[in-house]
Amino acid sequence: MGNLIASMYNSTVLATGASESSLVNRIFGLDAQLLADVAIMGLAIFVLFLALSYFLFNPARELLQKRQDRIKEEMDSSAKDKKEAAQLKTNYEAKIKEASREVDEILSEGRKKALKRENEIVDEAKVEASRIKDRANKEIELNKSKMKDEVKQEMIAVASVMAGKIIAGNIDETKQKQLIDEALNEMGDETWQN
Amino acid sequence: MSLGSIMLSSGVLNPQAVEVAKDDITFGVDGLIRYNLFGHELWITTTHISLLVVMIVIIVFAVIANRCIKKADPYKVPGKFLNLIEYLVESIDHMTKANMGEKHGLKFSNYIGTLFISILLMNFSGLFGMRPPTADYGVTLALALITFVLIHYNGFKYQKAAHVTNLFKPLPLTPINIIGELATPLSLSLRLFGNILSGTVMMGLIYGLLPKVILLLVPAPLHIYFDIFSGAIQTYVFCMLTMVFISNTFEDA
Repeated sequence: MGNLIASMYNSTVLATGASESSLVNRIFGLDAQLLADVAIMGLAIFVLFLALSYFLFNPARELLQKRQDRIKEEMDSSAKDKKEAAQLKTNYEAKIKEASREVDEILSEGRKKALKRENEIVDEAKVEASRIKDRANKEIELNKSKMKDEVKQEMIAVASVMAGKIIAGNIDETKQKQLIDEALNEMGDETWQN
Repeated sequence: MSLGSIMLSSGVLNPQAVEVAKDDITFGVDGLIRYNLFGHELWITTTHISLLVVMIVIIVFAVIANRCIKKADPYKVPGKFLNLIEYLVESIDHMTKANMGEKHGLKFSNYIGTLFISILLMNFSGLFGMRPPTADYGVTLALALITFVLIHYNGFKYQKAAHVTNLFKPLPLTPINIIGELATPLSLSLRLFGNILSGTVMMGLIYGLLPKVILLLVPAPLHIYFDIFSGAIQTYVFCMLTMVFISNTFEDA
């Protein structure tokens, strides 16, 4: 195979009529030139590797990583915020519940107090009313007894008048009876009942 | 093999036409500057010029990309160019991770990325009238040897002595195993070299043989096939095989 390749190379050189000190239309050859080409290409690819790594791949990857980190950070923080908001919401809801419970309590207490006050007022009114009634009754009683006294005095006066009349007129027994009846009729039932 | 000898042996064209073609067409490597090293006469060739151009393009791109990255605020929406850079880097990272595993993939990402970009641009350089450096065996052999070194470095790193003893399992197949190992860089380098060289030769023949008027139309689809399609496929194949060969050394540990 080596001979074949060498002959190909030789034929290339010969066919193009090149002198020994020139390289024209070379296609393939296993010689020192190949080794030199390999070395140069190896160096070139190494330089390219370093340049691309330094200028392109590493900075681009860093940029992408930064962006990825940033997005992750934002997502984390938004999740955290959401959690906090939910926590706050439950807190507020609990507080609102507590407040409305307190309001209810205050209202019911107020209502209770009002009811109590009402009862007190009613009781007081009742007591006052009964007191007024008692006083009225007493007054009535007093008036009654006063009236009785007056009636008695009048009776006595009538009796005195009757006695005066009896003495003056010498009246018989029937007449006396008649007089008493008369006197009683004059006074009437109403006098006694008041 | 020169164009003249190909044409003479094929007997298709008359000698006069060969003479014309011979002057116009070269699809081999030409030496430009001569130098001596360890007693050998060596040349800086057209391959090296193409390689230099490709390198400059890649490095300029990398530097511009670097400026763009440095200026970019990671907390803002990236621009178009930055998007392109990020897409490129992420695709390469994704490719290495998918082929070499999450654990080891990223370590080789930079090398595979360099390999991918440089081979792709070297293959595409035919489009700009340069001779693709990958049509020179000196280039593809170097790439394959780097892969070969990486395979065995990682083999010894992850498999220790088993990397050598695996060659003797099963014992009767030892010679085949050894040949198989040695064939890896050869097949890698010759595959890329052969494919790109064949495209270069075909394009050289077409440019040399067809009348100038036809050349306005015909080469475009052929360039698409030989330079772009074939070039991209071979780039992908080379990178894929490099990744697969290297990642094989992780698994057998």
